[in-house]
Amino acid sequence: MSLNVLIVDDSFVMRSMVKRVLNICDLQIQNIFEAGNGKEGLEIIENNWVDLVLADINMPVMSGDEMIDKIRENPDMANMAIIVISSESSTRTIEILQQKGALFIHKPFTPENLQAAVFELLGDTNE
Amino acid sequence: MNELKEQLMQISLRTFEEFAFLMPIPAEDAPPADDLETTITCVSYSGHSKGILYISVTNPMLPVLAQNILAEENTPTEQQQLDALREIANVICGNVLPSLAGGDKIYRLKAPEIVDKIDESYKTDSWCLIDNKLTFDEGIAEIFWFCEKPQE
Repeated sequence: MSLNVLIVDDSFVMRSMVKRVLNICDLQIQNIFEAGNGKEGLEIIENNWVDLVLADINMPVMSGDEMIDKIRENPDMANMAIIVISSESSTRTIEILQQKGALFIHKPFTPENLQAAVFELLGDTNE
Repeated sequence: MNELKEQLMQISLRTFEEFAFLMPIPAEDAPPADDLETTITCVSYSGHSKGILYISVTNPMLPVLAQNILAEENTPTEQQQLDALREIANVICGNVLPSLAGGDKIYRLKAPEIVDKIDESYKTDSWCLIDNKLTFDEGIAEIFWFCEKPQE
C-alpha cells in the first residue's frame, strides 16, 4: 500500500524535515502534499486522496486543532488517520487531541517515533 | 529559579543536539562573538501564565542550523535560515513551559517572530528572567526567557 501523505505546518523548514524523515522511514509513499495552515490542508484533502495527515497545532489562519475538528465533522473524511507533530507539552491538550482520534508525536522527534506512529495508525504499509 | 534555569539549559541543549545536530563546546573554546552580529527570534505565550522566550544567535550559526535541520548540502536561503531559527525557538518554548507549573496547564504559543532587539519592557521587576548561553563551534546562542513571577 502506497500512502498519500499531507504535511500541514506553517514552517517550511519543519515541512521539509518531516518530508525528509518520511522518506528515510521504511514506508511506501506515493505522494506528499504540503500545506501551510489548516485551511490549506482542508482544501488539499477535499481535492485529493489523502491517507495520512501529519499536522502541527499552532498555525496562523486555521490551527491544527480546528482542522482536525472539521475533518472529524465531515463524514467523507471523518476516519482519516491523523498524527499531530508539535512541541506542545500540555498533557490536557494532548489528551484532547487523542480524544479526537489523533496520535501525538512530540518535537523534537526521531524517524523511529514517526514510523511507529504510522504503523500504529495504518499498520505496516509494506505488507 | 535555579531549577527553571537548569530545565531551560537541558531542553535547549537537547533541541540544538537532536533537532539541529549541534553539540555544545566549553565556553572558553567559544569563538570571539563581541563583534559578531546576531539575529533574534521570540515566541510569546499566554494561557496559565504569560511570557516570552527570546533566542539570539550569532549570524554564522544561521546557515548551519538550517543546513543541519534540512539535511541540505547547499546553503539554505535567508528565509529558510530564519525559519529554522524560529522553529528552534518554538520547540524550546513548547518544551520548557511544563517546567513552570506542571504538564496539565494549557498555554497558547504565538507564531515565532524575528525581531530587532529584546523588548526593554520585559526587563522590569514584574518579570522573571531565566537565561542561558550555549557555545558551539559555529557561534553562540543566548536564550532569554521572561515569565510572569510565580504567585506566592
